[in-house]
Amino acid sequence: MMLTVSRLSAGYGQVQVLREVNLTVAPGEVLCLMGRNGAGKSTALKGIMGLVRATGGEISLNGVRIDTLPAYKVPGLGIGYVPQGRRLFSELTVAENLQIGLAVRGHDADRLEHVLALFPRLRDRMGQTSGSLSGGEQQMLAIGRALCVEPAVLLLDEPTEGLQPSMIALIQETVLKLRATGVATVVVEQRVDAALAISNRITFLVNGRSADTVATRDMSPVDPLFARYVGI
Amino acid sequence: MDFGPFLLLASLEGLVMAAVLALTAVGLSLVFGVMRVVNVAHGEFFMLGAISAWFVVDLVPGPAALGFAAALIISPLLVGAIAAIADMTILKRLHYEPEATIVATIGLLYIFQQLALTFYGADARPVEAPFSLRIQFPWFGYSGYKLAVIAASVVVLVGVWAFLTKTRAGLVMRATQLDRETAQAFGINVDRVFAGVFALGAALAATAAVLVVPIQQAHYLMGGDPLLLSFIVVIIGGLGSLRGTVVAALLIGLSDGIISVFFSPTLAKIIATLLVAMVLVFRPQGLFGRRPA
Ligand SMILES: Nc1ncnc2c1ncn2[C@@H]1O[C@H](COP(=O)(O)OP(=O)(O)O)[C@@H](O)[C@H]1O
Ligand SMILES: [Mg+2]
Repeated sequence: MMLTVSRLSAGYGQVQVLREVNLTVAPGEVLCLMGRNGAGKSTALKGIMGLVRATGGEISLNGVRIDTLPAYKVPGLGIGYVPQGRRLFSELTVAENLQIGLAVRGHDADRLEHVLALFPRLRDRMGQTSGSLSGGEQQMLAIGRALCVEPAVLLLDEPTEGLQPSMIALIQETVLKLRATGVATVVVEQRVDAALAISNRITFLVNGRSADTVATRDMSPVDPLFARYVGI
Repeated sequence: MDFGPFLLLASLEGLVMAAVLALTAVGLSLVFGVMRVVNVAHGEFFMLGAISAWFVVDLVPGPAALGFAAALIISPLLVGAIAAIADMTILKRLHYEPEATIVATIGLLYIFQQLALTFYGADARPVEAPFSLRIQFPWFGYSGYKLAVIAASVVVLVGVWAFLTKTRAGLVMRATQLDRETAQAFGINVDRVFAGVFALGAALAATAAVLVVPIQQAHYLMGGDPLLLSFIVVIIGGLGSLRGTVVAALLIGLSDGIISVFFSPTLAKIIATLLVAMVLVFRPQGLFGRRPA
């Protein structure tokens, strides 16, 4: 499914954070969202999920507006969300966390098998509370939980933050696998090499506005855009 | 009577109290745990349970047991429905802000009391026990109904535990308790969960009250004690910890029963209050609560 965000504005209470965000992502494509800390990347993803109310602009899925829906109806349309900092239900077991994801669209053991095949390490941890997992395992679970939704659109907020290189590689590999199956992915990524490795396009966010959007294949790791928008 | 049998009698009285208290306090704890709402009107849900039980028993013809059985089903459902409506019309509009909901539930407390006074009156009225079996111990006879109250409470508490840990709806409640926002991001209708939890909490108080009316008469001001004791139990057990709540109810119920019988009910209340003060000073998260992260 095609996700389109146009002229989105949103904020927290009186504080406006997003001023004009435009982005699109098509099936089989990975869009990377980059920008400095506080630019509004996480807020943009929350806006798509309906967790932060849009005060202006539109969000649509295959041309159908979704920004008017209550937040709890958004995931049922096939949008999987991996929040920044993972936000697992820490006292629930691995199995229960995945169960919450499966329930979104009424999926069952088949879908669970599919997800466990992607992250076999979770299989041995099913009865453990998710809070007791290692950082890498927690991230696998956060992604696994979102994949239990069988998403057509996947939103990943800094999925490699604070992970070891081997785990980062596994997560990038997973994103590329999902892209090959036609999932439309928006990923917030702070690291240039990671962004270049997994994305088709990059949208830069500055102060709640989307600035340039560029095709990744045209970019080098020392592109001046990175210095300008991300400060590297 | 010798000391041994006397202690047994006091312990039985304490267990009956603990049974009723555990049901009531688990309702309060559940509401606080999931919704972060301190429900000052919780005792009034207890009172409404007792009063509605009196009406149901009064209306249902035939043997006492039939009316009582009807009350055991109708009162919790009715009180639960009232609570769900209060949640959807009042608490939801306040966005569940802690201070605002305390004030609002204080308001509810007075509204429910005045409604009860208007439609039920100021009299305390007894409800006949569903059966009048006396269990004869070697040293004394004891009300079979009171023993049944203990058993019923255990059954309901096990039911609540099974609901929370073994059912889809229970899982959804626990997930909502842990992280509201992420719950929504996974399709959970938090408004509906909250209405359900508030109704469940109130229904538990009402269930406790129905069990209690054959022992203690129904009266429009009867909600004060259960509210205070529930708060004591929930603070000692740890806010939001159901296991802690049940253990603390046992502790308070038993000590209240035993100290009341051997010394005086006033001393029992003083000790309970002292216990709360000590917990607040030395272990503010309660015996079973976790420190806030
Ligand atoms: N829950 C919140 N309440 C109020 N302001 C917030 C909240 N979350 C984020 N903000 C503010 O919104 C701005 C954008 O934050 P965020 O979207 O998290 O940025 P990014 O993910 O790009 O680092 C920041 O100034 C931040 O302080
Ligand atoms: Mg962020």
